Amino acid sequence: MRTQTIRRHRKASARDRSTAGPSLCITLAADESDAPALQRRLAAALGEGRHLAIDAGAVVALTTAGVQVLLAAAADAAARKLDFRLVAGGPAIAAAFGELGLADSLAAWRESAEREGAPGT
Amino acid sequence: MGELDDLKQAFFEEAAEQLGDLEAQLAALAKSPGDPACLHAAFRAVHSIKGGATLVGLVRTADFAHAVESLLHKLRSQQLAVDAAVVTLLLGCRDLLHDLVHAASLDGDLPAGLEAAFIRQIDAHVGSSVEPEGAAEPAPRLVRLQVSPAPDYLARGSEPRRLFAVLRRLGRLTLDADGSAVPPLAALDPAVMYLRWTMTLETAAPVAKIREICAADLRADEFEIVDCGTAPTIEAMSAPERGDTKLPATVEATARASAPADAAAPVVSSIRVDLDRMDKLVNLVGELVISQAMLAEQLHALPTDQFPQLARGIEELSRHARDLQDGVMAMRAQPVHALFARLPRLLRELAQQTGKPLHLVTSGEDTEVDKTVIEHLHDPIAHMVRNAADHGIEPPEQRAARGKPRAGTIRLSARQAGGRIVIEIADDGGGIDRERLRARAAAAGLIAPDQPLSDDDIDDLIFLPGLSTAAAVSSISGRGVGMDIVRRNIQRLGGRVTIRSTPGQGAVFYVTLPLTLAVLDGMVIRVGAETYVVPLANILESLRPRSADVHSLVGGGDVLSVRGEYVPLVHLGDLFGAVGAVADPAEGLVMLVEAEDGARIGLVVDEIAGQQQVVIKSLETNYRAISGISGATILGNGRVALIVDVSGVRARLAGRGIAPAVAVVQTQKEQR
Repeated sequence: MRTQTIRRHRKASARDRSTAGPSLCITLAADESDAPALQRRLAAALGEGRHLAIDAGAVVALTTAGVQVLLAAAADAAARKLDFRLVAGGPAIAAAFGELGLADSLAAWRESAEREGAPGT
Repeated sequence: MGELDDLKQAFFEEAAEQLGDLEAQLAALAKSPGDPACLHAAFRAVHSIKGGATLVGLVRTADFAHAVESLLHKLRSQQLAVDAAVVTLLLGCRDLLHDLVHAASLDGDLPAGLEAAFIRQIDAHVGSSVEPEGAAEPAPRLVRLQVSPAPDYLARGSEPRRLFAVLRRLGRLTLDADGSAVPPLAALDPAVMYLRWTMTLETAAPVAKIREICAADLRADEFEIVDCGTAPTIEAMSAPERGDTKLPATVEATARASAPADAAAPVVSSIRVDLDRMDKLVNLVGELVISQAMLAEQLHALPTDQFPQLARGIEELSRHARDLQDGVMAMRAQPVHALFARLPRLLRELAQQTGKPLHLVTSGEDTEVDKTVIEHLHDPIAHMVRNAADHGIEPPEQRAARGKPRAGTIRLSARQAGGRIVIEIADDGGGIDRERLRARAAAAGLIAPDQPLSDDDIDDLIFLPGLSTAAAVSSISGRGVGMDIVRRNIQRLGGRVTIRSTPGQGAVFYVTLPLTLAVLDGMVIRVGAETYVVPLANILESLRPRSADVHSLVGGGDVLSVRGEYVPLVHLGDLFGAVGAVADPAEGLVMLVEAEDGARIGLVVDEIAGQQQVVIKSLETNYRAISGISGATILGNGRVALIVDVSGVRARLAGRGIAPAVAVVQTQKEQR
């Protein structure tokens, strides 16, 4: 998975300057079908108490298990008062959520990113 | 263009879709005779064509559609049984309808009387008493579904999106997902299904059909179906003040929720857009991406800390441009189902012509690809299927003698892999007769009789013009004019076709294509004074080699030792004539890339300039095809850069005999 990386944002948004510190950007792999691996990456990132920015621009495949992992991570982030934002999406992730009737969740994450002025990818 | 011309144009476009759907439904009907969903869908398609043709004054088309409709009416009301003869008749009628519509679209007409033979056959089945004019389609019903999969649903290999896709084919599906059971991340088991759905399906299909579909994927206790009765019609929705209109509670709620502000206007969930307009939009988005890259390049020259708003604005522009591009590409994307749906009929005809019983197995129909690619792919795929059926699959007696099932199987699958779509056409026939193919190639003077060739090289000979593996020329294939054209047509789409054959077990054609013909993520590299783009999907890693790791070969060319593996090096400067390129790989960089066949090569470059999404411009259209180059693009600085075709470079390398030399080096190393 060459595109699978975790990198820090260079810029901090207004919320980033809170106690949680700068957000972590999780770049999803093109083929994000390994849900346990995605779960581990997101759990590790949330464990650091960081706001999360999800870059799904390269995703071409996402399973329902992967969708559930993202939903759980978003709920965890909300419970910890951390941001969970989608800074880049694409047709595959939109299709995965849309076909499962979860387009609203994705839209909410995207709106959150837009409100916070997410950095480009 | 007048109003009638506009109407006609809309009719021709809709009729093309309906005729395609009709063909698919009839092919499905051949497999499942009497399937009510197929019959209803076929009836709807013909009914729509009749209505549209009447509207635009194509009386002859409308009359013939009316006759076909009468036959379908008898079949779906079970007054007539579906058998092979009826399906064949319907397929013939569909073809004539297609020709009538096509001729009308060219402002022409077909010779008179072509319908007569078909109408005689239809009359023989229907009799003269049935008059389906005005026969109403079954009214759509509202069906409510509660889907609560058990925790082991995913572990069973099920996937709700597949189920929902099948249900969507029956009508309009509205989903309401419940994710309340999804636990916190630490407690979540990715193999467990937590989501639940309540959905409404507006469909003309019988509830039994819906139940059958659900039961194929879900256990009996995982779903519940409630038939809410007839769906509200547009008239009912536009006249809510009528006190006598009583609907079930759920129907009423749905009708209210979906009623537009202007109740007189029909609900529209999709629009038809001219393909030329879409293409213009795609091009404009491409230009926007180039403009954004130019702005970003200009920004690099400025001290960004002094212009934070500008930097942020360009970052936002970049994000929006990418989203816009994804959105436009998604609009052009279509499932390959449209392509696969036309093949069952072809196989049926091939089975009749060859006398070989044939099965077609398809998978991955929901894989999406650019509409243009799909349109240009039908003929090449159909040709490969013909090839497989005609001289890949053995005659039934021969198969039985070899311990195989008498019926041959052709498998067609589509999937996405590494930013490309891969379509496989596999047969379980005898595979390529390499001895015969080699002998024919030698006899045709295409290879020297003693030329050393690997099995793959021999198999690849079938793509040479004038060669065929067929023992006999038939009306289906075997004249040796085809596979070279198949390869050329697929290459025009930016794709490749390869074959892998296993003697006695069959052959597989692999067709790989770009998901879109418009953009790619690339690495910008400099070679001498020139700039090139290497597709990101091909790049494995980049490294600065030590001189000791670079070895020159006796016959010319270099190889690089990478973690014990020898990789042939390609000096892009030499290959493309770039002036001033580094000669010593140790002074530049080596970019390790992988071709589509899995072979690795190292590209010697001067430096890497950065990663960028680029808009592909056809070199063939604007200049001419160049081996090793797949296209061109315009960079942020306004300069044109050529896009490297890694597999083409690898082919050029193999053509120069460098790849086999690696084996010599490896052998020498082993001997040491």
